[in-house]
Amino acid sequence: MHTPPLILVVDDEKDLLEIASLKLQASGFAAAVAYNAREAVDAARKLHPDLILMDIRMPGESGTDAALEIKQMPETKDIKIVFLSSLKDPWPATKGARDDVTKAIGMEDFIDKTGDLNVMVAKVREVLARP
Amino acid sequence: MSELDEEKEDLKKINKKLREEKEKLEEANHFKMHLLSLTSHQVKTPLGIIRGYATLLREGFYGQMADQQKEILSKMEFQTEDVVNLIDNLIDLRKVEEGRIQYQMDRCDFAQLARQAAEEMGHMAMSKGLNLSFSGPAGKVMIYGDEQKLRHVIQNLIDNAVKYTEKGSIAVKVWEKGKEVMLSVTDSGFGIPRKVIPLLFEEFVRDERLKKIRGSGMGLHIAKIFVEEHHGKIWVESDGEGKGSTFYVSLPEEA
Repeated sequence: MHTPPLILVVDDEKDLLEIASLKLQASGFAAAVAYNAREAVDAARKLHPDLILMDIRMPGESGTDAALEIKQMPETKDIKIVFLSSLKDPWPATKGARDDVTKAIGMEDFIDKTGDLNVMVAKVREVLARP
Repeated sequence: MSELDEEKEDLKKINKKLREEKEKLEEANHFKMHLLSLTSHQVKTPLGIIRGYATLLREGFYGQMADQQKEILSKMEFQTEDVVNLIDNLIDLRKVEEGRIQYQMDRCDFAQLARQAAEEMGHMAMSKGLNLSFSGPAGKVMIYGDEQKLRHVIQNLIDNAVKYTEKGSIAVKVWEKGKEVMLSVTDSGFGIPRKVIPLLFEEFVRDERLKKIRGSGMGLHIAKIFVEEHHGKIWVESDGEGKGSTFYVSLPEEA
């Protein structure tokens, strides 16, 4: 793990990137940003962040496309990915389908990106602490 | 054509008409849901940005703020959060109406859920000068339920307690009682008049005195639906106006 832990924030909304990265830096993390799926994959390969906060809906390739690519590359497959969504719960409702999706895209968790910033920081800490 | 044949023919026409009307209604419902989902994304994202910048401003990221300015920014955060909750609640209610809410039942640690919710919402209480405490068993309190829905219930009760309490404290407690798991959220807030208590969990019901306070009147209604789907109960006790209130949830260990 980097010291301080490096978080890559991916979102097509520049304001959300600024808000999230400022809050993360003030909470003891280092933050890098990417504006789309392509930049996210490149940044994952170059920076090897400890965790990626990945928006789902982005113009062009989606966050799930980028996650799949990151999870397929040997050098980036172990990076933890937490999805950002404006939906309260963006995943399939049935447990079986949910498990399939989360396993397929290598998702650790998700955060409502319209929510409380302190909740976001708490979630990042919690996911980083997971084995 | 006999009279009977004519009646059969009429019935066929009526049936066809009814089918067409049903299809139209289903289409309209589908469109409404689509519109709500679209709204969710299109409205919640800018609201998230407004809320995020308000938080950063209040926390001094762009220079120190005077107390009065911080207070105003807090109000902006609460108000935007309210609209976000309103949209989420509308979507949940539509799903309930359409029977599209699905429950992912699994074993989960209810004490941990409540502890996490209290921790996450502690700063919200602090920003109003309220003390939010949690007490519960040191070990796990396992129940069979949908973690996300139960978290929603707990967050809703704590959020209400913070909204309706101007000074004092909020206590969140979890304990086991026989084969039931209990949660209570006690506040030192406005209290609830006796005549309002039986109506409190109905849709769109809000205490008249609280019109100036944010809220849609949907949160407790949705909480009740979620709790009852777990074969549990939700209720409130209050000694009346100005005497605070305690909301209780009881859930069977194996719903």
